[in-house]
Amino acid sequence: MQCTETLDLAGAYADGELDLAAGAQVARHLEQCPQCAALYAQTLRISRAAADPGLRYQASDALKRKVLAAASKETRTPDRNVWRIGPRWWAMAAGLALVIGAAFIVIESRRVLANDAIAGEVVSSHIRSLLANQVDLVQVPSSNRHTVKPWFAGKLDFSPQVPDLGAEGFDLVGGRLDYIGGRPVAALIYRRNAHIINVFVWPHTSGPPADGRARTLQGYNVASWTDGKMDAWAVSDLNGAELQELASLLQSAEKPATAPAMK
Amino acid sequence: MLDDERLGRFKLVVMPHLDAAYNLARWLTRNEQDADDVVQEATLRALRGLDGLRGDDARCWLLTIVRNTCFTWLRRNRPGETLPGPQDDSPGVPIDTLEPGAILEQAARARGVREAIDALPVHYREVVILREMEGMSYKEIAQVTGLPPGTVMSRLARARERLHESLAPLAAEES
Repeated sequence: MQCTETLDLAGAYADGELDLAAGAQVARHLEQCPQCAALYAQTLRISRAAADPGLRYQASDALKRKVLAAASKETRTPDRNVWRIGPRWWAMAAGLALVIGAAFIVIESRRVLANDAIAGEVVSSHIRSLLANQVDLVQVPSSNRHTVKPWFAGKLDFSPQVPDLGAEGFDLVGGRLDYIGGRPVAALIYRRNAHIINVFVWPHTSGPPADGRARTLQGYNVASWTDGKMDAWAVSDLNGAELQELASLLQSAEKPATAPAMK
Repeated sequence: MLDDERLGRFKLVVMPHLDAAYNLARWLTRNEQDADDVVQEATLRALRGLDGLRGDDARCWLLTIVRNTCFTWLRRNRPGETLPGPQDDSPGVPIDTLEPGAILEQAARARGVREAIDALPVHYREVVILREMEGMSYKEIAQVTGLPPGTVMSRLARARERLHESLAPLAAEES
């Protein structure tokens, strides 16, 4: 072993960093080479001198307090810590958001699709009722709500509200049974000026409720609403704003809705 | 991690090594106030990086942060100190060994050694502090300094040589 090698290795040997074989080699060289042995002794002396505990600096109590205070402050500033959650939590949050978003889209699109289908049936029914004549349009011709409402009894498993909205400019023309969404429904016929309005009402039992969205199909305006128990759809060639006005009037008049089947 | 849990872990993991952290910072900056500042910054970094500590040696981990904070601070405030000298890592040349009778231990009494260590270039100083004062293995020193273990060994040897050179005349005088 060369002395140049030993220069570094003597330190590693003194520090106990050499494996057995290398250590034995250095030990053998140190025995044979007085120069390196002296160097080794020198390393030990320097090492011992530098390891003197008196040389160590100690953190002051003031510093310790400052460090703790800063740590407490840091962990209690909520708006800064919110963003310091681990990557796993971010991934979980992102995954959760994705699932919720997807579920929302599925539910929402199902709702829209179901409502679109109902709207189509409502408009068809409205057109059919206008195609023939008054006999098809109105089975119980009456402007008296106390005539129209009892007429439905025994024909349906629910009793629709038949509000008198003559004062608001919507004259009751009569009532009719119709068939929408696979079930018999009550059709109330109102008129504003020359415009006939069909209002279909049925208890909400299953599927997505009416979405309240204003639609225009084949030139007819369609409005819908629900109070959670009864779904209602209004359709007319009346302009959208006035149809919505009727919708709001009926909606406020419908409370409380009577739905014997639901009680 | 919850805030309380985080603070609890900080107290458990960081606070026991605050003296070691300060000692290193104090030796590397050679100034009390600067060491205070560096330790405060480093411990905040440690708090923010608590999640990164997984079963590692907490002291090693903390001293790595302190060391890096120190060097960032030095590069910003005293850029000259962090430049490695041209001959820093060159292989050692055998030097005249000290006459066996030298009474180095006497001269090694605090002030002389303190000044000798302070006079070392910072790259030498850090390995001396970590090895002699913290008793770290070469592997741990390599982790803290980011140096290969072989370089740790040669730097330590150079550093001890230099210490010897500056302490030898002192020892001779006192004898």
